[in-house]
Amino acid sequence: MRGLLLPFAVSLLGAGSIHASAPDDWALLGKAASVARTQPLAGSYLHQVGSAAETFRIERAQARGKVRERRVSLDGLPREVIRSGDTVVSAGPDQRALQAAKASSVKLFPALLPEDVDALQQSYTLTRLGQSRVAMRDCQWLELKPREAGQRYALRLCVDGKSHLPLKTMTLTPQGQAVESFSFIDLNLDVGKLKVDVKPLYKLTAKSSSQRAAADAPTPALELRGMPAGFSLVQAGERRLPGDEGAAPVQHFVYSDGLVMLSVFAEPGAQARTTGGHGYGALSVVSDPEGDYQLTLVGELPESSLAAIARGLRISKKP
Amino acid sequence: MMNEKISALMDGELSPNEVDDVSDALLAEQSLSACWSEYHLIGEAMRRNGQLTLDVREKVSVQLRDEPTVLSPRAPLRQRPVRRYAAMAATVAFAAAVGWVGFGQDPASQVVVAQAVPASQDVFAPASGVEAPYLAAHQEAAGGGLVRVSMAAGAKVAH
Repeated sequence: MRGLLLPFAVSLLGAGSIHASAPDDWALLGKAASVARTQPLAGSYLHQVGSAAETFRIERAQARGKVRERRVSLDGLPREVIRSGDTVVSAGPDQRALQAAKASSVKLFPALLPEDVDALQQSYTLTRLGQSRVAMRDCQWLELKPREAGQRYALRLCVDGKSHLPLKTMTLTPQGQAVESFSFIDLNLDVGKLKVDVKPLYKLTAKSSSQRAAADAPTPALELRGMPAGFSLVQAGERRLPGDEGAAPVQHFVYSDGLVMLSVFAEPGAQARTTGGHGYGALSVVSDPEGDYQLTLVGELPESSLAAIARGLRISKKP
Repeated sequence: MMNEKISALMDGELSPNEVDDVSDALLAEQSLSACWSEYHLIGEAMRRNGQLTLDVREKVSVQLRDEPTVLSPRAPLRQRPVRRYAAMAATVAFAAAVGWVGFGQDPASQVVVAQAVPASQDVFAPASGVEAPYLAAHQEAAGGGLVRVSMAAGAKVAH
């Protein structure tokens, strides 16, 4: 009986406290971020990008202190993304499916938030919106809106009232249109004895590549100035672009505002290159000559914002 | 049914013989030709969305009122489809007059709209040649600090 009353109580509280205090909201977001990474579950979710959609089956369990997670695509190219602790394995039956698997492994819904949500306060505000119902669960909408109005995407999450798991997320343009969305279709959180098999379904060949976050790459000899406030440098190195192993290495700077990653690639020789184009999800690519270099920016920001950032960047050799 | 044929005629989808049949029927049947003009009006409303006046409703409700008085021997058979059609016409005209009704769910949740991405069935669309390496490099870095390993199977899937 209590189980029936509780959801109503939660809704009433939600309805009354339209002006819930901001620290409460950030605390809820922090809880949601943590649960999103660790909560054992089994279910299916829908991923929408523009007019296209794909569904995945996901199973997650904790074993010996490690989180093990397996996602399998239910339609489109067959692929798997398996996570065991901090290692993510993408697998597919052929090269194209493997590429798709790698693309699918960047955003591991429902864990779309960073570990430190408080760091988001510099670039985003957080508000509570209404209530909704997703996968037969009542949830509360939260919205992360960029402080720099119109320059970045906003993120809405519908957080489960009981478990605080994000059940649905939407990436919105400044005009309020959704460019990408994830949503649980069915969900089971009562998965006590679930064992997740971390062996890929597809046979492994000798051709496997390990792409370590390039911590051991030589630091670039260049300095980049003019990044907008809120973005901090996460990683910088010199590297060869994948698939372009024969070409000269490029300087790769990776920035983050807590929610989105933004890459700046710098290579010598300004070339007239066409800008624009979306590779996957809400990613934009923009290319812009700057001094003696060609800058290419890749990030989950509206294309116009990326172009504006590119124009404001200045690059120079380190003294 | 005749109504589908009228609609098809308007959209240019009928064969020449069918066009003749429908045109003859239209000329012969008074109420059908009234429907024809209503249908055109509704078509205009759909296309221009807002220039429609509420007069249509008057005309259509007048027609509805007048339905029972058609005296042609075959009228009982034709009457029903036309009445249903006229009722539908009234609904559509009304909708056009007040503006399209949106799918009002909760305001926070929205339908995903296609942006610059061309309509496609698969979410994954490999990037065009020039951008692909940059996208791939970015995706590797954007993995949130997780070590990533990728594998492809040379052989067929083993279920």
